Amino acid sequence: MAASDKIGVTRAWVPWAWSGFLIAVLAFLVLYPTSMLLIGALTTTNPVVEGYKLADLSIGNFLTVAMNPNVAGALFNSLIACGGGTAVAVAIGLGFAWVVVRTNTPCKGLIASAGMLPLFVPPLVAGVAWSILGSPKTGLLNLVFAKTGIPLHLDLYTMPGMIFVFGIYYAPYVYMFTAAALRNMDPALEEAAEISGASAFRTMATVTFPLIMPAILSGMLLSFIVMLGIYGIPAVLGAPANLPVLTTYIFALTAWSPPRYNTAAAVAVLLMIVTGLLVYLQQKVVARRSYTTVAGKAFRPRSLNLGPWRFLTLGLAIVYLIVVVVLPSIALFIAAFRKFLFIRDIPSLFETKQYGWQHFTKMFDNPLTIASVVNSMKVGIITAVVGGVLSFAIGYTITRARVPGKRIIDVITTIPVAIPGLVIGVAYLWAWIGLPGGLYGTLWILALAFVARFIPDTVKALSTSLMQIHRELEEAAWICGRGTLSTIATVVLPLARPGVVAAMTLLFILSIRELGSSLFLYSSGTMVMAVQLLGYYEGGNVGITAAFSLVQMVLLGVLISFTNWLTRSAALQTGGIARSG
Amino acid sequence: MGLVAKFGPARAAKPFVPPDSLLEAAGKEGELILYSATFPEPQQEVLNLFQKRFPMVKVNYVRASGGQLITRVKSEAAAGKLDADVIDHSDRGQSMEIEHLFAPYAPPNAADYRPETLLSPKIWPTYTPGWCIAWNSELVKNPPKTWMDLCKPEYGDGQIGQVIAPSGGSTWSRIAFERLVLGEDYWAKQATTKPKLFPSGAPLSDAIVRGEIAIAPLIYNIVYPKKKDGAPLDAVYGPEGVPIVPYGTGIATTARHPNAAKLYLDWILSDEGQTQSIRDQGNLTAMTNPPLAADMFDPKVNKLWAPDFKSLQPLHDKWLEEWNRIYGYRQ
Repeated sequence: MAASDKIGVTRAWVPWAWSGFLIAVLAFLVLYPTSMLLIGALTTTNPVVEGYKLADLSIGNFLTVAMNPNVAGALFNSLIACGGGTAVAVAIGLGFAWVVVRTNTPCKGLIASAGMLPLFVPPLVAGVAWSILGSPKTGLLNLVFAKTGIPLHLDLYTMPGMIFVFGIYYAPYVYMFTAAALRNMDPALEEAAEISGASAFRTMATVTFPLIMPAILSGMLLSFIVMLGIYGIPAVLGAPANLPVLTTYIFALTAWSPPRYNTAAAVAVLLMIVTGLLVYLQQKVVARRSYTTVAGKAFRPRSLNLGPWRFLTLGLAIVYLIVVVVLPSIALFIAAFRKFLFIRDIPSLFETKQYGWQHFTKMFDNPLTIASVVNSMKVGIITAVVGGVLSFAIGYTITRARVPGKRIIDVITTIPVAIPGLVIGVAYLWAWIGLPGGLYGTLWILALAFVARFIPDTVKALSTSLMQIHRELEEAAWICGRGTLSTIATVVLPLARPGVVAAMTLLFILSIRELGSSLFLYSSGTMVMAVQLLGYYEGGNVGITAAFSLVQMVLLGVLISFTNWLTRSAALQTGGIARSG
Repeated sequence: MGLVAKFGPARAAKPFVPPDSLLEAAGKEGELILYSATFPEPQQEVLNLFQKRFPMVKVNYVRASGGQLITRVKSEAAAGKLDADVIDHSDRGQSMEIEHLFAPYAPPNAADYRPETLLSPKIWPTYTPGWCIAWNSELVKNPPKTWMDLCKPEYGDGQIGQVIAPSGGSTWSRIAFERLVLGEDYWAKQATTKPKLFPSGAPLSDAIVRGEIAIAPLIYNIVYPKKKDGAPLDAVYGPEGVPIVPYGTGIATTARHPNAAKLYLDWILSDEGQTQSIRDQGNLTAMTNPPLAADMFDPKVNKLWAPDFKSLQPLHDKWLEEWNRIYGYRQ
């Protein structure tokens, strides 16, 4: 029986039922809250409180927003900051992935692990850490430059400052996508280029990078969109220089007295249109070509021998790690352990009487701190498991299954990517508060919101892995008499396992850090870490904020190391499958 | 630098003795759910004291900033799922918007409160912080002493930080005071010093400690804990007047723990509760005759200034627009 006929013998209603089921789930998770946001943008009332009539809907909010030159200014700043940040992130993330996966640079395992650390840092804390380092008036680096006579003066309260910090913090997103793709790539293609006389760098530019273009584009797009939705970094670095971006503008709208959620929703819809266009463009580019690199043929991962140049790549990696990990960590440690952050000069930085555990003591005296840690871990696990399963189901359906409505599923899945987190929270509240039963006020409603919010990220991450697995592997299983589910379980899932674990890890990290959707859905018994952290920051206590961030970073670090270990053992098993063909 | 607070016994504080029936009923309920816009640290200190005093009532609370809290309360109430027993808000204008969600309530010592701070018979000023002028004591050797000093060129060139006027009810109190007491042209004069604008008082207080900003008008309860812990901060209440921010707190009509809620409000509004608020939080009080003289507040020099919300409400949007224009804040 031809492999493609295998699908044909499946009962005809199954594909329809499967698509219907996925669309129903996505309608609940994505379409319903998004429609509440649209209604909010088209009215001047809280749709839950005052209700709405179709006759009341108007584009008044959009006109107000469109005619406000400050919105255009904030949009312009957002595009520049995030565009520049993405360029920096791609340059660093891609270079880093190549160094770690495809070269014989020494200590690359350590470099790879340390390079992921920025992912654990909440953007607000990243902003605070870099303002401690790079403030024009009190920046630690400026004190060091002055003391050592280096004629440099940093000012991160500028557009280049924001671009720099965005870039270094979101490089790991690009790294994650591109490293996985580089790892799964058949090196025979590169070898062919080299045999034909191409230099190592020409091979990289003309074979390696073009082949992993879907991963690069996905990483670029994800970084850009995540940056568009980030509040912490521009709030800390942009505000002193009066550089508003869309998120700080939206936050201001929601914080004003009285809050203007309807206008904020209108700004959010504009942002959705911009990101929607970008997603469409990205999909057009990726759809044009085939990028299958994992086929049934055996291959062995290959390292480029850089010779003495490997010490240059090691040096560059070390510089990156110092800038991204060491310096901000020093700033955070100082903030967490120092009583106050007034640092007159370099000698005063070393006055031991200024340091102690007082911020940690205060933090743990508050029973909500531990409660928030426990709740966040629970929500993180629920989100990673539920979101992982759903994302795999959607990713597989979109990339490989022959079912009706694939395109609709793909489009709905992509929608949340475009909605800024600060506004989506209120949309979830409006949408789900009226649900019958006891869902509201539980950890499950938070988990559902996180699954919905991050489904585009995880589906994209998984689709990248799935797109690389050649159909011939599944066809081989079908020929051997396996059914669809059995093929998925024994062939696709093991091969995509590093991608699945990476996607679930990403989901876990994002849900631990997620603030926007938590703000309106947490209850008196379900405080989570991101909300508690914002509370400490809003309380004006950078010391406790830094101390809590360190706790969060350590927790995430331990958990990620555990999943890394899982991935490695998975890679060993799947490596066996790939190699044995 | 240590604790510089000076407290005087203004009068003999009456001990808080709740009726046995209330204690019993609150104990039976065993729980209190508080929705609060107060910052987590000071709020937790208050709750710790309450728990210590009344261990049979377990307090759970939801903390959110002003606008978010109101949006949440309105949405939950509309869906019939309001979880709060007590709602505590720093912006009385916004508390008044949800007045219908509050049950009738008056503390046993209701007569001790200044009538001008009471907007509704259901809403009570649990906390009453006041605006002060704060500065970094390591950087500023000749600090401003009055509100008018903040217009002087010697404090210009971005040394002063300001919380933006549209940030909420607290700032509305201050700008109304500036406009009505210090003069219609005060904003224009003060804006000539080119102050740096901050979205709220918390990051501004941190910026002063770090030395990013030298001077700022701030609510004293955000300055006081830092000063108490030894931060290089000092402050003064302006002799022209102290704009106060009486909170708007009440018991929800749908409270599932109404007796625990009553016990909490009775306690916090009592002499005992207000004494801890003054002593531990750096607040003032809306009581006519305070149970404790507040740190830094000299009744011979300083006068409390409470905004008349009802008469000022129609001017709200117009004045904010004017303030934004004068200070160059893009809204």
